[in-house]
Amino acid sequence: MTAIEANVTDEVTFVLNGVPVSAAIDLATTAFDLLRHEFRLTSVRSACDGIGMCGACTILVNGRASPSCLLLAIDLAGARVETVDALADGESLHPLQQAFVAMGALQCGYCTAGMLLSAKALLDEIPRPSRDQIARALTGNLCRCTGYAKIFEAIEVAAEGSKA
Amino acid sequence: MSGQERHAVLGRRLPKINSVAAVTGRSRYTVDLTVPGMLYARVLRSPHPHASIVKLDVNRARALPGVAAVVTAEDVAANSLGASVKHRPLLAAGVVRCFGEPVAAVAAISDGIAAKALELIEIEYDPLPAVFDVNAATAPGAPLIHSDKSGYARLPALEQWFVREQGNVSHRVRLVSGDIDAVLRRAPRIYNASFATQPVSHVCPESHAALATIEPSGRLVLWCSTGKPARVHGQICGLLGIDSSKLRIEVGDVGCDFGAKGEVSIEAIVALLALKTRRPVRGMFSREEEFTGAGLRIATEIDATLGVAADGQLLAMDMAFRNDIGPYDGYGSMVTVWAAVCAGGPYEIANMRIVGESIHTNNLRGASFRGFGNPQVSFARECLLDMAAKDLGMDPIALRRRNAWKDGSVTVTGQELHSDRYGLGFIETLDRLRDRFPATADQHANSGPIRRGVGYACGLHGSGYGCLIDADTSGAILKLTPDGTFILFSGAMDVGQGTTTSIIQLVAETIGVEPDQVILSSQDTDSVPFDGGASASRQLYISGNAALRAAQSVRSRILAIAADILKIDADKLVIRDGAVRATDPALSNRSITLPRLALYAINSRGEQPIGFGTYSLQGALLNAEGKGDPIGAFLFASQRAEVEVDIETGVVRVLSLAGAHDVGRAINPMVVEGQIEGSLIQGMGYALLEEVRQHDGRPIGPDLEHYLVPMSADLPELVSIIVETHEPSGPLGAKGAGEAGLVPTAAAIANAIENAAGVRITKLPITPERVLDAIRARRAG
Repeated sequence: MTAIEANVTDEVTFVLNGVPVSAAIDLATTAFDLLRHEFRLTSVRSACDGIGMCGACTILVNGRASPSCLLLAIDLAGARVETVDALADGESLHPLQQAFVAMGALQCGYCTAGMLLSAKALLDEIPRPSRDQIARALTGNLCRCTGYAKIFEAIEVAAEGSKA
Repeated sequence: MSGQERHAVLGRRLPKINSVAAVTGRSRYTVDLTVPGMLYARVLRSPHPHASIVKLDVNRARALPGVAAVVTAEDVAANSLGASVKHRPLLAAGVVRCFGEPVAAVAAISDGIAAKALELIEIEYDPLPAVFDVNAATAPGAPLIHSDKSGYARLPALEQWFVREQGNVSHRVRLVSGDIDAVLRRAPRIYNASFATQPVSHVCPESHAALATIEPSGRLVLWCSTGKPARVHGQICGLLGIDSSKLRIEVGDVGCDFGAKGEVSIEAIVALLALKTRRPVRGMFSREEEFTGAGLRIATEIDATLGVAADGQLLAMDMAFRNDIGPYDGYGSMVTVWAAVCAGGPYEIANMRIVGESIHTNNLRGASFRGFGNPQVSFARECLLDMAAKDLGMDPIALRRRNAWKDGSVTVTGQELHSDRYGLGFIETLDRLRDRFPATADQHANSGPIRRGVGYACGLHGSGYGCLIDADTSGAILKLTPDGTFILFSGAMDVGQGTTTSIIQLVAETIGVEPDQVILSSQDTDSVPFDGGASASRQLYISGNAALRAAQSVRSRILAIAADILKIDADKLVIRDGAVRATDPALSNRSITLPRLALYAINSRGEQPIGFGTYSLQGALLNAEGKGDPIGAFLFASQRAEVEVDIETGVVRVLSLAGAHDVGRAINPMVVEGQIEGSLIQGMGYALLEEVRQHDGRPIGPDLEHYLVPMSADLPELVSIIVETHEPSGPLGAKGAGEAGLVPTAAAIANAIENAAGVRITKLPITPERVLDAIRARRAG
């Protein structure tokens, strides 16, 4: 396959955390590389070296959670892209962030950004998810520390809070 | 003292101190760091499990534009590493002994050029005979992995077990009590089986990473991802031949350790390249290198025999186990000795013989991993106990309770367990588990293809390195600042587990302030006293004890100063609500706020209140006969697993995991629950999913597609039961909680599978194929 050559360049324009941005890319650049290395968003992390098995690089593209390592940068064209950096409203944490902190839903924190974004996509679609729906929504997000239970609880707490 | 008046801070479910940074994306891991002008490091690794290097020419790589340095073994001042035996080269010298062994490293202006340079290194190997299992490695005529294994420096604490004769056995530990052969001969019931456990990867989400810079003064500054900066510091200074004062290590957020990040590799390679080029250099392991270059949980083969009386009394246990430590004895033999110490479990067994060997093979290197060899041997022991309970028709909890350690019990090493010296909450963990899950909840009417079952298992672990080192030490400094806040200088590392938050709670409680008035300083090796780091369930116990002493010391300085100001004796003063106050209600108007006291102390008295504390666990070494007090504080865990087994497919689904853990005083119950829940799930992965499969020493994959770890869809119901006891030697009664957790889990699940489907699986991981094979074999038999 030679259709994507490293030296074929293009420009991609999208809205990143509420700010219109554009970047010159070569067509083989992944969304992960663009966000982490060009835009220096270190909250977009990797644990599986780009094979879509860990979810640490999860971003929201038009509200949908996707591992950014499996997207090309060009796939972001025209999209609304969100990372965890914009989840809080200034100093005021999003209910999911508050719940993750209060419930002890993180340990080393490496997976936390991806978890929060998968959870946000879920709650935006299903405000009061069942345990099975939570499990499905997080199924691509690997956490090695917590055993997931407190993450589930935090999402439930955030869901209840947003409803109340 | 304040501790007796208020325990408001102890037991509080305080969020970890770095939680807000983590949820807002502001955490800073080593893999996130960049500096201007930084070079990128890459490592050339062996494609052979055992080979001579017959040609190594780096000239073409060096000549590639953009390459700043290429280093090989010749560049390493003292090219040997290893906690147990010092014989692992940082970069291979003439011979490689496992797949993935580092041979050379490159620093270049881009990662791409560094990768290209690796391809230009001209290297030729001459494969050598290799050996891939512990039995072949100890057979007569087996290829020797080290031709002169006595020629290396060794850990003195293990010296009595070093095997001097030629061969691939590095150390052989032997712990004996009573008269094992005679008692086994006449024991009414005998249960024996052979077990095998697999190598698994820590799968730290943040890989090993380091960034080295050279200060204008010429000092080396190394950022790295580790829970053991002081140990990394010592290894790098030794390897590179630099004075200890010429290296500063800084650690930010750490994306897990689990025992993986204490034996240096990329950290020292990056430091070497920075010294060579005088430029900043960054390097990090790929996920593949995490599997091949970071060390794995040691695979163990175990033969065990249990002699039991008809009433369930455990009479004797004979266990021989063989640890595949790979080609180098880093933590390997320490793991073997620790496993031997823990092998008998928390039971009174008067007659015991534990023989453990660490054996060299050409498989991937063994390493320390949460539990330090203990989950392996405990899997065997707890399965045998279950076989006994079933055969005797006893409740598995009742069998364990009947034999449980209690006040006055004596261990295989002769350690006498007295409750005034040790917290002994084992029986309580059993009782609390049984309270939560009555025996009636264990009964299932099984028919059809989906069978339900329940299993139990228990374990003990220790806080601190115990018999593995002379002195297990941490220090701490606390300083009162002019705004009334305390800065804590401690090398206790948060690698996710939350210890630093618990230690801050200990300090705040002891001084009499709120936790947010205690700030952890940045943790670089210049500023903090020596600390053995996050390992061996030691942080809260040992570093916590040091911090507690620092808090007591700064508190008494503050009270002494306040006594002069307030003209009230120091022992009639207390720190409360941000001020030093008289305990006598009649003098309640006599007080001085901490900021005023601090300013007065500094500006008028010429003394900033500072406290120092140190704590060391010593005197735990075992003697030549394997006797002594190897464990400083005992941790206990009793666990229950409930599973469904599909007897047509062999698929096991874990429905529920429960752990009742004796953690001493639970300084922060939320942190403790995190340890219990996390270890239950890690133990479930160990039981059912995880294995770094190797074919003739070459890993399959290795990546996170082939290597399965528990994901959210696998989550069973988790029940964590904190059993609070008082640890006499622990800080305010606390002890560790990190490792006991997954010691029993695999056995609890195996026992539940047996209960459900009637098959005893003795090999981990318990895959559907193994379950199905066992079901078929039983039907055929």
